[in-house]
Amino acid sequence: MVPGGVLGLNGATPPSERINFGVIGVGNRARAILPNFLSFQELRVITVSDCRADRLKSAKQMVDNQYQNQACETHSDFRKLLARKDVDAVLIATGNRWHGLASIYAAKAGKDIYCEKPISLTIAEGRMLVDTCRRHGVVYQAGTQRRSTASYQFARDMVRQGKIGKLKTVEMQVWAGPGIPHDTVKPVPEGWDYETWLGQSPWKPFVPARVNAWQYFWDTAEGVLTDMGCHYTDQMQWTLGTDSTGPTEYTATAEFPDPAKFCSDTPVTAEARCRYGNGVEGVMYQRGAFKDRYLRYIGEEGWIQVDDETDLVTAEPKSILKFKAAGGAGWGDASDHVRDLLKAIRSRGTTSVNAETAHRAITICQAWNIGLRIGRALKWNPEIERFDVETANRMLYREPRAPWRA
Amino acid sequence: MCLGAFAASFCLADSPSPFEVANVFARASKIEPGASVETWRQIEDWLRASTRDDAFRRNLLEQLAKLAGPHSTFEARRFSCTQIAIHGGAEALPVLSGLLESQETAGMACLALTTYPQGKADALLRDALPKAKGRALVQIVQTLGDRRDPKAIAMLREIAQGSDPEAVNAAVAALGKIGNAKALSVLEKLIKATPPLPTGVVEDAMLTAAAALVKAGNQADAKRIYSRYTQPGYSHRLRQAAFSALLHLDRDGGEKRIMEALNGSDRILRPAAIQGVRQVKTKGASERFSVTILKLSDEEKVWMIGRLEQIGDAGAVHTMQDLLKAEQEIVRIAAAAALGRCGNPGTVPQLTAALIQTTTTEEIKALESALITLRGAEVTQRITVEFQRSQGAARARLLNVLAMRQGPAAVDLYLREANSTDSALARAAYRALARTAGPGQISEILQQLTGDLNREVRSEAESACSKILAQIDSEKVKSNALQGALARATIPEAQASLIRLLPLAGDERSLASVERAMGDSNDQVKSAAREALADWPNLRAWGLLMTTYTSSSDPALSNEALTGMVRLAAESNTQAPPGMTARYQALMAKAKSNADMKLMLGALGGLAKPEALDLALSLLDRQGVQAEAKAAVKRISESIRKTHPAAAAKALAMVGSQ
Repeated sequence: MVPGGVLGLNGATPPSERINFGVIGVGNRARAILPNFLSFQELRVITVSDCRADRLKSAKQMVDNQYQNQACETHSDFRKLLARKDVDAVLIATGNRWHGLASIYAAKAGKDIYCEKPISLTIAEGRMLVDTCRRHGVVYQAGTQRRSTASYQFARDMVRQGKIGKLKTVEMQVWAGPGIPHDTVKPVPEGWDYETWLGQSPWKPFVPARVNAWQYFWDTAEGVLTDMGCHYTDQMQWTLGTDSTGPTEYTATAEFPDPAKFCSDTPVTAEARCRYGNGVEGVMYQRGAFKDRYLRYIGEEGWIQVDDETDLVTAEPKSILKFKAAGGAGWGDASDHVRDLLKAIRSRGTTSVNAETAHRAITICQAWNIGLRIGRALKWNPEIERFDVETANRMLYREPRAPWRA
Repeated sequence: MCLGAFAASFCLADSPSPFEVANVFARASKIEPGASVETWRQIEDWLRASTRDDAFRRNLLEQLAKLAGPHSTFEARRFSCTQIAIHGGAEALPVLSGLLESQETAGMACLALTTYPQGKADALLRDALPKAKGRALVQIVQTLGDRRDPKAIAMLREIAQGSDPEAVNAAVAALGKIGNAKALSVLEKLIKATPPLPTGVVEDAMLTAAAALVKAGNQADAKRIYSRYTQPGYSHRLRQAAFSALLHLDRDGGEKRIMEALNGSDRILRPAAIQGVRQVKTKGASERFSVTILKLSDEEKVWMIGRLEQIGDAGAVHTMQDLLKAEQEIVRIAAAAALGRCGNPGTVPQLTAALIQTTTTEEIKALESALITLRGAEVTQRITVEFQRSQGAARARLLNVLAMRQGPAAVDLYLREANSTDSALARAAYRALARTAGPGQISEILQQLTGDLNREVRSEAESACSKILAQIDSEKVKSNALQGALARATIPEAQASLIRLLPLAGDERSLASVERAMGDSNDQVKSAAREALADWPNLRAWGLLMTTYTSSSDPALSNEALTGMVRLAAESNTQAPPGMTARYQALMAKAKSNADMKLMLGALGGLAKPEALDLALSLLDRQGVQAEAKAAVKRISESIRKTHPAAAAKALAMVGSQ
């Protein structure tokens, strides 16, 4: 007897038409987003990879539980996963230092990609990612899923329809980052491939505080301003229709952790501004609590805001809200974003947040960070992707530690 | 916390003395994990601030170079290299040269060197190659590739012919990045090497070289590479990518190549050809592509619609309008969605015609959505014309479209159509009014509610009135509007509708109307009044509810009244008015059964007052409700524990909770 699903009966997708996924990096973020993938009949997660044995084991269990079998295969080296012919696409949910490089490796292996944000560690790495995806003809979707979220779509539509008059400012808020206390060297835990964990970042001994809070170190990430900020700069770019370009001027101020107490080196609070050629200003505040994040478009005749924690949309004049349809999933449900990727994989078309789009959005946050590092206001030429200050241009790229290369 | 800033330029009032600088660097050189990094932050601040003091900066850079030397800790050397990458110059080259020799430090040296201008840094890297081994060799090869050093080609060729797979792969990739004619020639020879190089590495290098050749203006060699990879035998994605790259190099934007692919039998290249359609800018191209559309599969037609939408010219719009009549629904839906984004006022008749004909929910949704989003000054006017011409179900659909397009601006139209004898249309009109009408329209809509409406229309009309009344703050205004309508209402259905709305006013006058209606001879009116009383939003109804509860012989009515009172009491608990406990007491005194008493105790438990606690305590011994009384005592005690600790503790002790 052959089950109907195998033949594509009863609405099931036959195995020959399923898109086989591998997952690279199966930590907290992967566990949060994987259910969005596993719920689709037309894809199958067939293998997972991680440089930590404990995570590999629990991810396999999660996938196997979903499919009610023991078929999910594991790889401690993601290159082995990429070498498999039966993997069509990958979900990349590693730490930030790996997002860009793992995507580049996947593109070179001909795999379509869904990658968590921020999509690169440097602006030049982002550009290499865009070029590599194009060169190898792979479909790429960045995990800035708010483009597929009803509340944000509504806010964008209202701005684009002129409901708040001429757009003047896009105000964004992310939460204040922590300071990570100093810590000493410890043995690498059993089951960890620490060399791979470090990836392209300069070698350093295993210090638990640095490893566990990698988001707040320049070598391995760039702090909250980029980590969360890129969601909002992506929205700003989308609403302004500037997906293949970006702002031209950047300024920022920030408060850094006290180096006597803390080893982390990314801002605790910040106020960062950018300006587009048409005069629209973007302002990113890094302050307050996690729940206080928001995106607000301010026009000459009103404003519209999405509260990220609650997905609540508010506006002035309030009459704007009458145009809002009821319902729609919040950003926590990435299903529509995954669906958009699957559609593009089938048509070999483009996704809502393709590599170029995502690269331009993260460039804004990276430019702020570069300005903060060198203590300068910056002018940016989005055509050639260069700053007006040579020191800043020297921060466009970081040579990866061998054997990893872009 | 310390402040770092840009916008304000960094400037030190007085540069620190060389002694102070040396002292800070000396301390910085000893840092190990776990120690304070104040000296590092100090050095970073100085580097930022030193741009206007040449001597100070020179000293800093020399100290920084020294910090990368063998007398510093590994941590300090890594810190130094990250700073050299940003600020360093010739002074750091000797120390970086030393770092290149070791497998442990070559990575940090290359991190620094990669940002240096062409010239000495490249020479340094090339000089280090012959002696480099293992990871250091791979690192240097990669950096030479990233720096696109053409003088390294010969050395890279040798390494690419070696036996260390990591180094071979790195060298091939580096040759691809250098990507000039000489590098390409080397790569083409390497492709034929035995044993063969890894396919993926070679393909990537060749395609990287092709991109570099295009940038350098050498299109002929680039085309040769891309053409090779479009041939069968390579992976689908690679073939498609190479095909797309060729389209960018074609003088006609790829039109000829796309047409060949669309008309050909190679199904792998067809998606790439369809994707390429959007970049063809030649006049009339969309019409020419449209001719091929009938040869495509349904799925390919949908993709083609997406691309034609991006062109969005008259030919593209015309084709999509034709596809509104396509056999397959997915094609029709895709055409509708695309037209909504790129159509024009002239598209309205086609979309409305399709909307009239279709019967499927998905297609109705797509067509309505297209008409809602369609742009152009005359679009709304044309939809209005189509609406006036239309009949039957289409009329309601078009009204819905107009409501979504215009919002409050078309309220007069909705009011007019709400009177329609066509039930679907009238319901659509009331739905539009519910979303768009304001307090200014309430009298008129209430007036319509007094008319003879069918049940479904009445339900929508009531819902619209309810939403508009909720926008009005003043009880008096709401009450006057409802009383005026009630005075005019002659049929029981209309009276019942209006009575159900009276709780939205919530004033004494409205309550009196409800009380009167409870004695009405018509069952519909009476039932509406009972419903309104049970839903009354404030304590004004307490007396009437109490009377109804105690005096009614109808168990259902009695129960409705009790439920209303318990709900009101519970809602009032958090901001209880004076005498709330007395209300509970009076209610409990009239309790008709233990079941009723249990309901009352449930609400009483939410009243955080010492008097409420006394009342609950007094019921602890009452047969049949002891558990509920005990629960109420516990709950009240917990909530007044801070303000009345002694009473709470005593009560909790009595119920055995302390």
